[in-house]
Amino acid sequence: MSSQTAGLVLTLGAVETFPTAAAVSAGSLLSLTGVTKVYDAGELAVTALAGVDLEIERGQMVAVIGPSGSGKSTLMHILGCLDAPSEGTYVLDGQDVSTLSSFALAGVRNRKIGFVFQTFNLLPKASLLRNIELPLLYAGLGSSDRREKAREALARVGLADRAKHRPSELSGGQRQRAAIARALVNGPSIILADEPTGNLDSKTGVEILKIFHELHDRGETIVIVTHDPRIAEQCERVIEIVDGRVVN
Amino acid sequence: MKKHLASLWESVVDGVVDIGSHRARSLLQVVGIVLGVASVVATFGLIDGGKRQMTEFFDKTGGIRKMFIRNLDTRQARESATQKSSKGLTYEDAMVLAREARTLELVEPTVERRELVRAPGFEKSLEISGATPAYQPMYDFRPVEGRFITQEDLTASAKVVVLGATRKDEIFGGGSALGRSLSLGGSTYTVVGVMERKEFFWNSANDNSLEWMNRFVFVPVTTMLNRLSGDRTGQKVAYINVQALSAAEMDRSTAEVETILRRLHGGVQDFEVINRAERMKQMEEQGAIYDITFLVCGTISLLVGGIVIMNILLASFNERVREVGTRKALGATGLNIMAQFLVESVVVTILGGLLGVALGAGFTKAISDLIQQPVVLSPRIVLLGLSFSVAVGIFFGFYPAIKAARLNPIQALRYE
Repeated sequence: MSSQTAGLVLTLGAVETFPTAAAVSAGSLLSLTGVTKVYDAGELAVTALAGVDLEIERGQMVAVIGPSGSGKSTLMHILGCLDAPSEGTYVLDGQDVSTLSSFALAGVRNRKIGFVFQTFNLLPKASLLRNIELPLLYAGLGSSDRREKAREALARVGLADRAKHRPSELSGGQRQRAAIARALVNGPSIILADEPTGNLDSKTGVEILKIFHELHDRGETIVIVTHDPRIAEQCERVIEIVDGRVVN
Repeated sequence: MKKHLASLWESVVDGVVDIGSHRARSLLQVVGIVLGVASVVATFGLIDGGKRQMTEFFDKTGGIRKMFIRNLDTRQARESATQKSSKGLTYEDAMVLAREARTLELVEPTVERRELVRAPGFEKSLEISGATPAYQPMYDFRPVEGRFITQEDLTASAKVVVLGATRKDEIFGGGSALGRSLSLGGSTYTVVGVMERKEFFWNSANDNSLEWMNRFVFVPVTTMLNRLSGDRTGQKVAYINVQALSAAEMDRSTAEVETILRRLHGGVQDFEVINRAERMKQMEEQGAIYDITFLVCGTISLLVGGIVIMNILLASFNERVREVGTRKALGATGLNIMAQFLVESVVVTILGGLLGVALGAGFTKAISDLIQQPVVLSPRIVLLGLSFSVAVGIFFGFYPAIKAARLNPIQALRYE
């Protein structure tokens, strides 16, 4: 690739990847209207979400809490475009994503959503760098651009010197930091964290939360699903789900 | 669109990188294909080697344009021939063939007879062959010393002898035999030529298949008829070799020879014409049956290899479900996942194919060294082996790839 085209890709990437940071003024990032999710298991249809109305503003740090079976995981899946609502609409970043095909949803996940999982979900046989490159790979970026962005993201979570290491050579906290770097690397509109401290000791958990706070301070929108009230009280807004409904 | 293609390509590259990080798994997958391709390459190497041997043998003994005419020696044919006063194949037949046949290039009648051969320190009854100058171009048989029989020898019924290499050593030992004399049936002949040594080995288990050519004692065919055999009127010949002008028109040549000879023999078919091109064709047809048989065997072993690949892909599938879920959450489409899985089986089979070709080549080399038979490794077979293995890879990689592509990301992420 010539240096000229490389530069072009980089510029495009920069424009595309950080639209949510401070430059964009606060406003509604996503809105759910009457979202219902029914799992149809033959005669026993299960209603996981029963008409959820919800708006999340840009730059907010939100906790979603609720007992198990309350439907908070389902809400998380719909917010993350892993699943489509049975009824209702979901508008993310100005785009109605509730009726998209699974192929289109994959693209939305790739560009707009950064996932952080409880179990980190890093590829065990791949280096950290390659793990973090994955979302960029699915975005169709060339290898030199990928490497550069992945290194930047690693540096942001303080793991610049671990690029060549495999996940198994790292501590739990370091793995979750790497996972956060992976969530950030594509410049998503929203970071969705599912019990991000669930597999960590409390001290490491605090460390991870500190990173989320830093990201929040820089204008990222963060949604953390948790059942830990201590985490929830650190967020500026708490959404409680009970029996498939938002109760507060 | 361009972006999708780029991401698809990156998935392909990713799949290749993945193989490197699962060496044990990839090695297991490769084994079946390696053995399958190796067996195909080795088998066809041997078959092709055998075919080339056959062609080479034919080339060394007159080529495929040669036809062999011999007396049909069944009692029935002889009786009916006697009634019609046919004498069997004669020198005269050969002369008429040479004169009249339009599709023949060379005609070579050979008369054979046992005579007592004597030289200083040598005495033995040997087969003597009366030949014409045509023998030399027909068999591409060259003298290393002196010359072969000439037209002048024929005209003069000259008392000259040309010896095969083995005979010369037997009678005169080492050193030149040119100009030396020997006695044939009581009268003195001069050695005017010694032929090159002809050799052909089918494999190490066989002796020289052309040793009979080294045992020739040639005299001019006219000398044989006029001086040695008492039967001057009959002028019987043992056989007549002819060479057709064109290999493509062997059937026409055969028909022409038969028509002429039948006329000369009073309408009796007391001879038979053996057509080499015909025999070659028959052998090729038989060969085709073997080819198909071995191809079927090879295909089956490659299918087994393919099933091995699919088995291992499916066995390792469960441990990769979460990986697929994660990749999908990060934005992989079903196509990305499919490409990644498919490329794994395809690359593994190409690798297996290449290793198989190498192993097969090694096999054939070893066999070739062992039995001293040349083995041919034709690009046709190498290509066949490789394309077969890729086809197998795609075919058997498809099911696991589609299965992976269709995984529901939520269930895949939850998979324990």
